[in-house]
Amino acid sequence: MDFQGSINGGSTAVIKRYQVAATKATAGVPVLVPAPAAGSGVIVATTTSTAKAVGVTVDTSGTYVTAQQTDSADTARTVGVIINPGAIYSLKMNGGATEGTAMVLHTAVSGASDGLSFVSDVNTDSPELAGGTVFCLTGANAGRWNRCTSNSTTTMTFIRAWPSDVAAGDTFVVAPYFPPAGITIQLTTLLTQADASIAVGTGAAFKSVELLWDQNNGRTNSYVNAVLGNHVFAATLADS
Amino acid sequence: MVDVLVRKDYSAQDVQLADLKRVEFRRNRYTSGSAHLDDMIALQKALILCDSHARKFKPRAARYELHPAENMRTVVGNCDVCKMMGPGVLFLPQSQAADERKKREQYLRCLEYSTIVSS
Repeated sequence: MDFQGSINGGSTAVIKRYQVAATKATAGVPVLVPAPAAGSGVIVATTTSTAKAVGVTVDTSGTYVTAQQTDSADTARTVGVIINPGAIYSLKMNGGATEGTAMVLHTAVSGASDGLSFVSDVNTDSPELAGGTVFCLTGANAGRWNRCTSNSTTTMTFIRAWPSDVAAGDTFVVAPYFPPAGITIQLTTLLTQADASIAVGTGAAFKSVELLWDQNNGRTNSYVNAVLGNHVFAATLADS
Repeated sequence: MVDVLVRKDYSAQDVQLADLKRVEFRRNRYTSGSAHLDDMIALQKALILCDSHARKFKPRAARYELHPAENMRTVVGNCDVCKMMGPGVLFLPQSQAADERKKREQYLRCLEYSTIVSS
């Protein structure tokens, strides 16, 4: 998860150091305000929750300790956090919970003659893909995208027609976001990337800003840019 | 009136001994001159240094480098030496910077060939 700029137009990250309540071994993960009396510092997010986010880390914390040290060394461990409430972060999209998993490839079995639907060789109903963005990798519509508005087991339907009819063998990838409509992103196991294999509308609080589809490596090098959706320094959460 | 007597007849050996003695007080190349900064370096933390202290910092000697992403080189934060809040330069340990560089290159490659979807 990398800082790309601010939703307000600025491009400077504001970084503060906070004590941690657990060892943070990976940089680039969201951290959260701990529950009252439940920790001595910021805690790490989960794959499905970024509630009361403080920001995203820029380094690791070292080993968290609670016991007094024999040499009277400092027991505080800190981590640098980008705290801009409107910071835009880029998250690479994955086809599973593990970082580096290629996105699921949908190969068209057939397409409607009006460009408003096609049948995929992959189940489009589980996870639920209606409301997500479908990007065409190969075929007459390569490089174009459309929003899936409804679906059945294998058929995806669109309100806006594809410029050309989808033909058998055309390939697509699907992301469960449709910027700026998407309000959730599920994180991968290490919390550094996005798990795009989940149903639309599930995951942690993020607001998607845009998708970047790599036309050459669409399954392995495409990104969703997003803002943390529940940030403690945002005005509406000033009392957090 | 006080006479200050300065010895002038130093032998080559005297000069060599004096040089060796001076070495004890010379900073070694991994010492920044700030105890807090040295601790941060030992812990391999990201460093924020104001312009003044960034100029004095020798990243290569400390095995650090500028953040590979151009937009992360100048940040706002507290300088790790003088603690003043303001614009500063972000340095990363070389090991972490290598990962960041790889991620940055992949992102830029995507940008170069990407279609941007923002309904």
